[in-house]
Amino acid sequence: MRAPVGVINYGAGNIGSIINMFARIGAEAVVVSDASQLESVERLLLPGVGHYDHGVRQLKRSGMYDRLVDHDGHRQPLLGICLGMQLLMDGSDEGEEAGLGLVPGRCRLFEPGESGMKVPHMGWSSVTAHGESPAISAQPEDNRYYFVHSYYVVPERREQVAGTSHYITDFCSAVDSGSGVLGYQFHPEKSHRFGMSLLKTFLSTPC
Amino acid sequence: MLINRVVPVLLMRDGLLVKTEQFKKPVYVGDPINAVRIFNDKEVDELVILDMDPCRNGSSIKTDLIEEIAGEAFMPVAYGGGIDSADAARSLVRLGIEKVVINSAATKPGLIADISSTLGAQAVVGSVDVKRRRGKAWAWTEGGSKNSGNSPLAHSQHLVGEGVGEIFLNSIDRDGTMKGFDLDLIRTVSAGVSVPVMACGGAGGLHHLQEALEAGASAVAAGSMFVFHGRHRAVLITYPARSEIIETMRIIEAAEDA
Repeated sequence: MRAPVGVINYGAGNIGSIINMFARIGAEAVVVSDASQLESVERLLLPGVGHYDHGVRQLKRSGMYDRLVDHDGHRQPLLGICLGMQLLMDGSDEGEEAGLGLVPGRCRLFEPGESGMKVPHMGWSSVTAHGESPAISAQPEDNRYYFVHSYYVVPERREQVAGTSHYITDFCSAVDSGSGVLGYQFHPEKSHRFGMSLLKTFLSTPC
Repeated sequence: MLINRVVPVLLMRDGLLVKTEQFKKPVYVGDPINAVRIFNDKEVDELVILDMDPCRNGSSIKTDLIEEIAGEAFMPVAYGGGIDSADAARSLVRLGIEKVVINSAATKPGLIADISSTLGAQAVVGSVDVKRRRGKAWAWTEGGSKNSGNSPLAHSQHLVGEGVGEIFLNSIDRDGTMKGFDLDLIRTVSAGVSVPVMACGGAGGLHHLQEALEAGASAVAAGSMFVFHGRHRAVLITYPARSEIIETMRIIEAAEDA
């Protein structure tokens, strides 16, 4: 039997709290470290922190990049978190490397201008759902999530913006490709109850 | 409404949690992993974990324990203790720590700038320990054992100039007393720096947190208030309910509007 979820480990951040949060909600998450293991799980979670190019290169080094650019989310739902969400896009102003291109669009840097706001955006913010994506729409009104990022995704297709947050500007904090590829800019694994409920929702996505 | 952060501070000694009074008399209060699990249940905004050992006996950073703590924590964690190089700071972030807290090593030329340029200023917290001598406040380093000769404000401004994104302002005199924050100190430093100030030292109840926020702190931190219960200081890990925190903030908003 395939495990319900695999957390992709490609040397771009601590995956401990993600694994532990899945355990807390009663799901066994396994660590996936190479291309052959990708098939052994029902759903995939792509975490990550750090520089965009570093993330892409680490994915390439792990041998999983080539398999993920052709990913079919209908068959195997894929959730990107933080840098993992940004890697779903075509690319980022942060670097030169091409992303996975699963969600058309790019990542852009926050420009504080005259606002005096600090970059990165670091702290708790709420997410407003757009449309009916189960990825975010069922969240309670008092929701709050922990963010740490300097770049944010700008999907080309408006219908793929599942949720927005506000920091300096309104930005896309949740994407849903409509074909099983999802992304959160914030850290569900550092957002206790609210994050847990999103991971639970992810576990219930059909595959 | 922006909700100010209310942050438990956990002090480690020999891998266990202790609580001090005026930086002395450490009392054992529990196991760090167990405490993190309880704080997960309480949905705390953020945790600060400070290891006394590197400063006390020169021991190195306990990377295994920190990785375990970060992996258990379903909230962001700031860590301080023995961070004396940019490499150490970067590896802590790789282990899953969100922010590094720098105190004694801040005097190393270029260290904060180096850390802040790779991790971002928001991941670097400058810790300022304060002791009063004949009423006059001074910033102390090395676990409160050495007077820097600078006022807390001058010291904080220097750290901000070097690149810290937040000041952790800790009153040694009030530490563990639960008698309220040093509000003059908070007022002076908050008004004089451009970054958020997290105030610590003296919190014994929600009304103290409220006073510190009114004095200008962006976030409030406490140790004893979250680990001791009652007059006899029985060890019990607690954290105010979200509704209580929000109520505290509302009172401040109302006072500001009036």
